[in-house]
Amino acid sequence: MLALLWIELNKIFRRPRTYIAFGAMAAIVWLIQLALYFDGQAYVDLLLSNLSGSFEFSDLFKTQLLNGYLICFVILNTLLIQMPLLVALVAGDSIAGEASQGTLRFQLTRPISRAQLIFVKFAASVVYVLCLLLWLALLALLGSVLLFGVNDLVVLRSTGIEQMQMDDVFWRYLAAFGFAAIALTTVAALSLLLSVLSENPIGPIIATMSVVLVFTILSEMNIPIYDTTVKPWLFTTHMVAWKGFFYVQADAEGATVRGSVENLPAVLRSAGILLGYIALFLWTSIYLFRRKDILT
Amino acid sequence: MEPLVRVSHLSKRFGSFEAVRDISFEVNRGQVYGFLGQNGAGKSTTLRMIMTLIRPTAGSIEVFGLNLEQHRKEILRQVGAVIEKPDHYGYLSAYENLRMAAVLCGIHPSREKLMQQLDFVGLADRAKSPVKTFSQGMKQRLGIATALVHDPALIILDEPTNGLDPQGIADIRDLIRRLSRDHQKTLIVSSHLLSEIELIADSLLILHKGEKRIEGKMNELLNPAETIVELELGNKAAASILLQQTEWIGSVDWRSDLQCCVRMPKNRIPELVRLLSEADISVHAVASKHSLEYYFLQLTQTETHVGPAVD
Repeated sequence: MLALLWIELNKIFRRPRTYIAFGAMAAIVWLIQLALYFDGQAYVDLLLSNLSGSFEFSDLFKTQLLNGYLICFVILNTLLIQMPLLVALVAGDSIAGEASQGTLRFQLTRPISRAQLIFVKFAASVVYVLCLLLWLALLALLGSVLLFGVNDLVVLRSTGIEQMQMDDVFWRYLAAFGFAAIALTTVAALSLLLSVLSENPIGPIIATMSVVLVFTILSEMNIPIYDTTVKPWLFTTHMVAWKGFFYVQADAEGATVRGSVENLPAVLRSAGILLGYIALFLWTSIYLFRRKDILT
Repeated sequence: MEPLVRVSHLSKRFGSFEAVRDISFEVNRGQVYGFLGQNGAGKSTTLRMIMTLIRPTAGSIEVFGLNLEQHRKEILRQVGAVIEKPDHYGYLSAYENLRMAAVLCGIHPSREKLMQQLDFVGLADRAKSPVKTFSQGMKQRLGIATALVHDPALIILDEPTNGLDPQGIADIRDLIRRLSRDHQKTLIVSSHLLSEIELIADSLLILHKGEKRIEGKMNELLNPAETIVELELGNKAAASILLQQTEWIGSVDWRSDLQCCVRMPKNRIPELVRLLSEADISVHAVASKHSLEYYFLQLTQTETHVGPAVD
């Protein structure tokens, strides 16, 4: 099984187009960092303008606010919505791409089972997702910390502000990246399922993005009937639950409780639902692939 | 002797289209078994079913005495195949593609062993070249190398000479002969060209529109004593009577007012020409074809079913 995984990874990482995703991410992160490096204070003023009626902010606070941790949060907020496309580029190609090239025959005329092949391709997609997130962590977290330094992290919400001491932040990023890995793996599993149904790699990539787009719109819409019936079961609703690690509990005096998460059960429930989706997509992929006639 | 491959009442339906209809055949150990038929006759569909790429609608396949559905992995460990055109990873080298095929078969041969395989198909000097730079013939030979990498007992080659130039065709033919003669492999080779199959196969099965039409040993099917003679004659009415009255004439098939095909013993062609001349029937042309070629041409040129299937 490990040898088969090695083959899949070799195929993914020997293709030049795989690196388009890494290049695109680097370009976006560097553009954000560059803009904030030269004009960060204007961005902070813009962020705080919505809260200026309720809070008074000192100049020192404003200066400290713009640090590596905040910039990483801004980058994650921007990029984690776009990353499903980058994941779909690889996972959507995994079966359909091989079918269109004819190399699926090359694999399926060997003594490996179709379920094994799906597992291996899924595992390779997961490794790709982890590599993307590691790359993002290097660029967004490490890069921003090196460029802007560290300080307390302040996260703005519609209900107010969340403040975390700087030595209480790093573990939250680790947890957030871990959660993002589950969220993006869900997209990879969906893309793999759609790839089984197609013989052209463009179809599953577009279909994955369409599903993510429609579900995201539904998740964001404020329609009461959907709030309790549909939204809780859309995987896109739960993909943004990584932010929960940056929402903290306050003590009686309003000070942040170190190491706290405002609603950990909700975050864990979201992770559970995403894992359920992954299992469902994977099982369906295997079921359909085992019955599929390979005609290409 | 237990056959290596036993196909029983195999059918495949795609919606309302029946691609393969109730075909049965057996391939014995050490044979080169030819699969002949036009494009769309059902050859590739049948071979894909043997390689488990397609699920049969009905029927069963046994390979090495084992049921294919129940012992798929065990069987495929001993089978190598190139189905339709060989497809490889173009951005990888020939050596890397071959190594990948080996790993997929669960083996990890040494570099020396893999290079020997490439040498066997004449690609050792291009081992490091990306496959996308290969000609069709080289890809075909690499396809055969990947099919042989795990030293299978049964090799299935679907249209292995398709798209090749005459030299490429000769190379593949030579390769098939060597596999059979020097390595005692059993091969199933499909083609739409009788001339190709004739040169390499010991046994033959002709498929037409998903049905089996002929199966048998080549030396029996290509009976040198029996022939089809194409005649171009001057007087159809008189010639018809004469041909009907001649007892060693098997069958007569008039294709136009001037042309007919006659099934007869080959050694009596001079006698037939003499009889026609004596009856004042002018003979403009005489051409002899063996009966299988005639049968196959009839299948491919017309929709008419000629004669009973020979099983």
